Amino acid sequence: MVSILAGANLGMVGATLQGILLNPLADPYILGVASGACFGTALPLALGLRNMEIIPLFSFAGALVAIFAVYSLASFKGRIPKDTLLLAGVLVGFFFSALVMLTMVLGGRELHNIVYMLMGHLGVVFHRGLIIPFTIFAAVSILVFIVSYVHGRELNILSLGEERAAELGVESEKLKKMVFLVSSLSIGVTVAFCGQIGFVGLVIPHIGRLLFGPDHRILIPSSLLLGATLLIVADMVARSVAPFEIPVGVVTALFGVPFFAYLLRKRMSE
Amino acid sequence: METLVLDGITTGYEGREVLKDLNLVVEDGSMLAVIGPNGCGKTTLLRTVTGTLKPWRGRVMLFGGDAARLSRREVSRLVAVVPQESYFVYSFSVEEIVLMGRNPYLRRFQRERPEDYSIAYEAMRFTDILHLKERRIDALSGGERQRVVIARSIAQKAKILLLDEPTSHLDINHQIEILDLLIRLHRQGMTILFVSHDLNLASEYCERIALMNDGRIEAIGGPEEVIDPDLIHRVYGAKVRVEKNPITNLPHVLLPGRLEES
Repeated sequence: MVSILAGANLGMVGATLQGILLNPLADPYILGVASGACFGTALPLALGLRNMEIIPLFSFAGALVAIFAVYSLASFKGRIPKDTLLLAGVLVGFFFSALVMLTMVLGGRELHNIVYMLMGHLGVVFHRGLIIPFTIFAAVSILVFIVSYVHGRELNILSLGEERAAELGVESEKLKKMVFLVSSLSIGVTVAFCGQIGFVGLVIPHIGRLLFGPDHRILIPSSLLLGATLLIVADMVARSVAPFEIPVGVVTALFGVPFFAYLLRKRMSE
Repeated sequence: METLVLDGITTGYEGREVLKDLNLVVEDGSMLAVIGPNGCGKTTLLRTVTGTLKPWRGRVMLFGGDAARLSRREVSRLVAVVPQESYFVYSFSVEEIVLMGRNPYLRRFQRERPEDYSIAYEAMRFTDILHLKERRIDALSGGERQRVVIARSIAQKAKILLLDEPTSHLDINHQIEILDLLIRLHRQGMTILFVSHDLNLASEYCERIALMNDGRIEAIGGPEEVIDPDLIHRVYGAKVRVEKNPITNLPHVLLPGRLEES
């Protein structure tokens, strides 16, 4: 259940961010959003808070602060040059990683929980006590999907460049702010539940594009499904191959990278 | 009727003034070439018309209305742009790119309607790229790609077409192809504003030429008036000879070097 939602969110946010930044290397991690969300999650954990209705709010706040920090660092006169944006993302990412380490040191006895969160895990099991947090997670996922999907055509056009998009009637600054807002919502909630699971947001949209083409109206739903599928499989592997549970982030990276390399080579030879 | 009026436009980038109290009137259905030395503000002029660059002073009037009051969508139904070169991060198909020209007419959640497809197909037929519609844009040659971009701007059903040196990266065969396309569009009543580096091309293909110099229009008129050796010397600082092209009987700029040796 958690893996479906987490995978769906990561895949879909990866697709929209790559679209809006005109950059196939963009992903929530490179942008520093996930680091912001991690700090937002680590802080209440370090304070001994375990309430899954409240933690996602902190994570979302962390992600939102991170994305707007990146945005205001990188934007100039209401526009965002894309290379500056990536640099600002890395910068903000470092800053929040440092803050996370600080909370780890200060957190003392909660260190284990924070490290576990950073590695990425799908250990949250659905039970009666978690109905409200799970409903929030699901509702956020649906909301983010609808908002991203509805802007699909404009994301397509934005990939021609901001000025071209403007000439075709797209209000790119508004679109960016909207996408940033829903992306941080999505990433915040995902990190609160599952910690950092890398690789999915970066590679799933690539696989989607190789399979179904670059149209975001197809790419966003297919990235959602592919992301969910990948995480279900990764989770099963993480639980079954070793006598102990491997962090799922490790599995996604170890299996995903060769698969992606294979797809890339195959496309080059066509 | 005046399709486009630039009324005392002053604008630029980060405190650097590029256009200086520029005035220009473009008549409905005319084909105007804008020429001038590097950095005189030709591309800035186009940006001001599309509203991607806001005037510091002065007004852009589109069909008698103040362009500053129009939304991006409304402007894009009136003005279409063909840039010098287009970059494609993701490999969309030709058909998908041309259909993007219909964006100004579609609501956010709306799919392309059958009429949008027929307009896009008509545009692809007009530019002779219908046979390429399934192809990926990054697999096309420069000339084909430029025809795709022109098809997209036709599908936009705008009243004014702005072109920023659309042929400067193309070989002579593709240049002629693109220019023939523009002439056919002009005959259908499209108002065309064509920025060019090539004085001869402007002279042969456009009935009116605006010569820009340092953010202003230095001269405007027919090729005989503007393609003048003294005027060109004053603006470009280059000494050239102007002869009549024996085929078209229009002024033709000759480079001095070899001419004076022989």
